[in-house]
Amino acid sequence: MKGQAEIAVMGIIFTVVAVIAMRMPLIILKYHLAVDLNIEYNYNNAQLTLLSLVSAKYNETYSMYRVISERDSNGFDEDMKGKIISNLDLLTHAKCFRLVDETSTILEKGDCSAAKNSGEIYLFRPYGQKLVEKIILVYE
Amino acid sequence: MISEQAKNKGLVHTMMFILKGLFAIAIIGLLYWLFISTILQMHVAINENTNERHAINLANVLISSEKLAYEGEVTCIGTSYPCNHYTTSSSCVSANCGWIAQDQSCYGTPYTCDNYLYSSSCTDAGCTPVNGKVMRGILDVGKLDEIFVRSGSLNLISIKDIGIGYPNSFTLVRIIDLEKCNSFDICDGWIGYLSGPITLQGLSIAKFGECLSEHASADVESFFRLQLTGPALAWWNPLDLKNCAQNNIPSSFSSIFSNSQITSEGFPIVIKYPNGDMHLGRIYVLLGEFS
Repeated sequence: MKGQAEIAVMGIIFTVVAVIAMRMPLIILKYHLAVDLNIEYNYNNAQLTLLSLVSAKYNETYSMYRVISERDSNGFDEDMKGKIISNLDLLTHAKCFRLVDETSTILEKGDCSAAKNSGEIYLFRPYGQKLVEKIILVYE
Repeated sequence: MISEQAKNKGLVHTMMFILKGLFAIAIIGLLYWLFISTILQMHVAINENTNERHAINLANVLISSEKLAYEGEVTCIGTSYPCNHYTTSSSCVSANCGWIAQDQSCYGTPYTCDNYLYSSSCTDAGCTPVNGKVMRGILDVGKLDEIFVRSGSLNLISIKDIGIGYPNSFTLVRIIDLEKCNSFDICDGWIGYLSGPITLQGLSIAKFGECLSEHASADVESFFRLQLTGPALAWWNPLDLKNCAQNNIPSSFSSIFSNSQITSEGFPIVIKYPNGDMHLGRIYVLLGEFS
């Protein structure tokens, strides 16, 4: 009886190991494919979100690009931030996001800390200290 | 008595032998099945991944192509014809010259090239038109109307080959204007089918397109489907979609039903209207490929 139980346990171990050994490569492959594709989609999505943001109009006279790039010389009040936030809401469908430059936060939404996806774009700043500024969007 | 016991013992041994054999065969069969199904699933996973990657690439090409994207104003460069080039009064006057009817001659100083705003008038004046820069991610409504149909007129959808597409593929493109949505979150937009170069025999993409057009509907159900499948597939009942595919396209057609991110979430774009309005929108791309 003891011998039969040992054989049964060995059989179970053999079956489990065989199934895992067969399935593990598939699971690893699927994981890598999904992760790579997710990175590719998120990268494209974030870049296009920023491109769409700067291409959109702020009002009849100004584009979002001008509002962001000339914020030091023209001012950057809550109305301007609100309009950009509402556009980013539409574009990202994210619960929180931050728009930052290389040293500071330009604007942010939500009380969570966005860290998952990010995209970056370079803006020409005609009146800034540096002619080109890197803008980074991070969203959850 | 002894002979009976020996007989039973032999029977038990035989039964045990048969059972062990069957068990061994079952184990080998199980391993073989696991091996084959794993290989098949790897192929399917790789195909789906390739298809989704192709859809992402195709969406990027579409939003960057001059076929859909807004092009900046045409600029006209070079030197315009002198006034004496014009031989009719209308062409003479339209070039800002003076026409003498008696002599049938044209005199004066013509417009410089930068006065011409349109490609045709620029060429007529002897100048060289330079097309505006293609604005990636900004789609021109005039071009969208030419290639796709507006959401409200689904019965007129036809398959178009605009020269963008993978070989032996069929693409469903849906563009929505996020700033023109109703209270049910159904937004205005465009929809269209694009095909790549087709080399397969007996393929009826046209019939498939007609079938989809016939069964498309914007009703209460489509609102619920919108939440489940995303905007690209919300117009069709899944059963209708399956029947259209099964009856008109070969079984090697793959991946149109995969719910990938580019299919369900799309890419952000800007839509430029002729009056200068710019609305935020999204483009969804479903790619079906024939393996």
